[in-house]
Amino acid sequence: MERTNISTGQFFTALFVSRISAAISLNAQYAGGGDLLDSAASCLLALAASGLMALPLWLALRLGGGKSLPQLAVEGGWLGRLVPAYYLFFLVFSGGSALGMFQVFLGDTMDPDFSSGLVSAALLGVALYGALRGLETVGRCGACVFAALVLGGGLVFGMAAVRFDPDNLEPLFYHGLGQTARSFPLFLARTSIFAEMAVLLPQVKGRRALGFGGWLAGTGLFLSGLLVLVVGCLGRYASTQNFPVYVLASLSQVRSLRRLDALFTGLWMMGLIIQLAMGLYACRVCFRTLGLGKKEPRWSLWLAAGAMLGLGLLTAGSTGLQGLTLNPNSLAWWAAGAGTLAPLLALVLGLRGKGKKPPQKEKR
Amino acid sequence: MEKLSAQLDENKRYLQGQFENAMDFMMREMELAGTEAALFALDGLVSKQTVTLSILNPLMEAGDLPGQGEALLQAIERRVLGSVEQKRESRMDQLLLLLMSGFAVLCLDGCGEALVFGVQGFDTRGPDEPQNEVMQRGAKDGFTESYQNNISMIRRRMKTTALKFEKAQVGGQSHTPLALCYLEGVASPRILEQIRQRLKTYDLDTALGAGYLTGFLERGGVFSGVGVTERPDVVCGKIEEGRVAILMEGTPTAILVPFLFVENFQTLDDYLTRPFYGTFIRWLKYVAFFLSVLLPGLYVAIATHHPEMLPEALLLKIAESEAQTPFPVMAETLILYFLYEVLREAGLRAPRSLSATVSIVGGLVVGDTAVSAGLVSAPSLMVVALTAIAGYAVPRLYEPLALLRLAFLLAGNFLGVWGVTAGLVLLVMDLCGTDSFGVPLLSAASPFSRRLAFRDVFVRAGWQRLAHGGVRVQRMPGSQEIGE
Repeated sequence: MERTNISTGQFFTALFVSRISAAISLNAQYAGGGDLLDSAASCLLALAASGLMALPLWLALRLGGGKSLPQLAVEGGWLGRLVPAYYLFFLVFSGGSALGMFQVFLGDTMDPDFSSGLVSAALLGVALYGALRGLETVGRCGACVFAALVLGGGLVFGMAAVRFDPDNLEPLFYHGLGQTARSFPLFLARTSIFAEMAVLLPQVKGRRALGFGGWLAGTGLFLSGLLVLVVGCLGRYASTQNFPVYVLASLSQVRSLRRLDALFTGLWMMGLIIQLAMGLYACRVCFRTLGLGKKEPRWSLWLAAGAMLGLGLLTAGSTGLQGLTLNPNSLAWWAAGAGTLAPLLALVLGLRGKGKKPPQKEKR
Repeated sequence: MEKLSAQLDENKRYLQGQFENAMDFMMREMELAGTEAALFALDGLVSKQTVTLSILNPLMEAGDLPGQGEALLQAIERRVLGSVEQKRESRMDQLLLLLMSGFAVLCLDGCGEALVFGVQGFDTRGPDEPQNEVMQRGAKDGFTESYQNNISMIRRRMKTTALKFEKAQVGGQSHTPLALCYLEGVASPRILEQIRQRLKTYDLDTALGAGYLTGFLERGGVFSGVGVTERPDVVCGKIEEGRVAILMEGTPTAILVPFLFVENFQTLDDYLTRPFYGTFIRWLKYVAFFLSVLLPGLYVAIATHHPEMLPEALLLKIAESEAQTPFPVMAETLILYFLYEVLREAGLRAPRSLSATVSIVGGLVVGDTAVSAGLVSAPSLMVVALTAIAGYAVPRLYEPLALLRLAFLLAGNFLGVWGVTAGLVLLVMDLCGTDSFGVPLLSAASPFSRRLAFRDVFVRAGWQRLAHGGVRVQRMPGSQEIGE
């Protein structure tokens, strides 16, 4: 059974879970290497910027009369195919990048006695299964993972909070605005929400703007709270670690219950699966819009999953490629393209495709 | 021969031909008011006493019967015989089916219709306490193999005209009768129609148990969207919420659809105790479920790949035990798990007089000796035993649990805790993507409804709350009838 309609709550909960998985994979090196407390400010700024960046997307969706942005753009002629192609590329790229980051983490930090590529393949296999079952399945599973994140994250970070020392918190912008500026692109970049909204939002029922607002607020609160906790518990030590949130989790201990890093990694994996599954499903819709298959073609999921896995494996294996796929500056530009440029192009092409008829108001 | 012939000889020849070499076929020939007649029945299916007292004696003692043919049949039908279950039939396939269902058939020469009488006399088992759904406080009567008895058990508990028993039939050769039991105005017409359509797809020749039918009613997924019960009180509770029960002749279990995942954790006892205790028991079963699915996999994963997660004292104990055994943790757990399943199967299939011996030999001798001999470690044995016991807290899920344990065991061995996590998400994904007749299997947890989830999913609310709100299964969140 394949489902195609989900509620706003499910959709944005799944996206929140995806964003959280990116957040807990926070890499201090990519965050600027300075005081992470300043990064909390850049996180809030980046989310505010995300809200503004998404305005063209919302406008295009509103004027598109219930069509997804790729559909709207394709109506404007052959040039419009660039939009679904771009979203397809962006989704595969961000999925592969997230997978690559996870594999880098596994290889560098956990050093398992089996191939970390195998873990990535397993993750992608589960995500592929979810995408094959449909968007509603992924949305519902996202809600379940959210509950697990609340419980598991609450346990890990609650136990870590015992180490919180306010003395570790230096005043904001104590070393200037450099760190805030450096980590701003990271928080802007590590999300594929723009592409997923552009492609999937017409399938979502309910008050979508409210859902997006909730997503922005929830993500902002969670991320900034997490950064404060990390700095408060680890102090300057946080900025010297590759994965400070992981370090915080691995130091958590209450009596005999300790070394919860495996639990932390499990939570990261859960979020990552939802992120990949959403991305894969969106890829499938893009393939259909490109005219590659009569309905949403199933083979496209296998193709997109293969591409993501390949990119993830290559990223983990090549430091040169990591400079491209994990670099927040380049990722931020891609995200801006997905959130602003592609929607603007879709809007222009869509209006042209309608023969400049007065746009239909969305009934949803 | 499609229709009954007006010639009695022709009918006799046909029926004798059909039942050639069938020693249970009985034919009693007689003469009624100068007309040749014959009574057919199958030995063992009819009560000979009832046939003699209610059919043969009145026929023989009847005085002035008119002429022949239709007039004679009408007189017998109206004045001579007064069986409760009595009707005319002319289609030969129906007559054969009725004969094989325990009816007696009276044919007259010169008449193209026969009179059939319900004189079933086969033995049926009385209602016993259900073996697989033991209740502490519930009623002690369970379904039997006679679906008519089962219907009466439900009717005795639900004295309403809205209670319907719709007749159907499956099995190309067995022609097994069944009844769709539901409350009119409560059950969803869409679900009823879906059930009828799926029953039409049943293309097996026989239907010898509920399991034959469930395969045609469910649609994929690890967990079934079709439930079974041996208890009439459970059926009454379920149909009150809009479900449909299917009662099948020859099987002491009723099939329930739609059947949600949470129902695997609900028992009648939950509702017969006080709410706080019912909630406690419910949570105990949820924990037992996760323990049963994940414990062996997590044990192997942690012991093999992440020993740092264990407290030092426990880690040392496990390491000490493992050092004395020749097999790795995975092999040890797998062997123990298979041994346990073999013992369980042997205990189930062995004659009752031997099952105690099997348990003693298996549990005490093999288990104790294996640990003493240093073949397996005590922690592994304990994990497998705990898993098995936890599985019995949710007996309805035993089948999927048995295989899931194995899958998680392998995932834990090859990919550590991460393999178990991936497996868990896959399982949740499967649960989220499966529905039972248009109702999501995981409803009301996902899609989430606070009103319903805190009524009878996460807590067992008090009767004041349960009695109000009129929950209908077809109106659960995410179901086809209302959407998300």
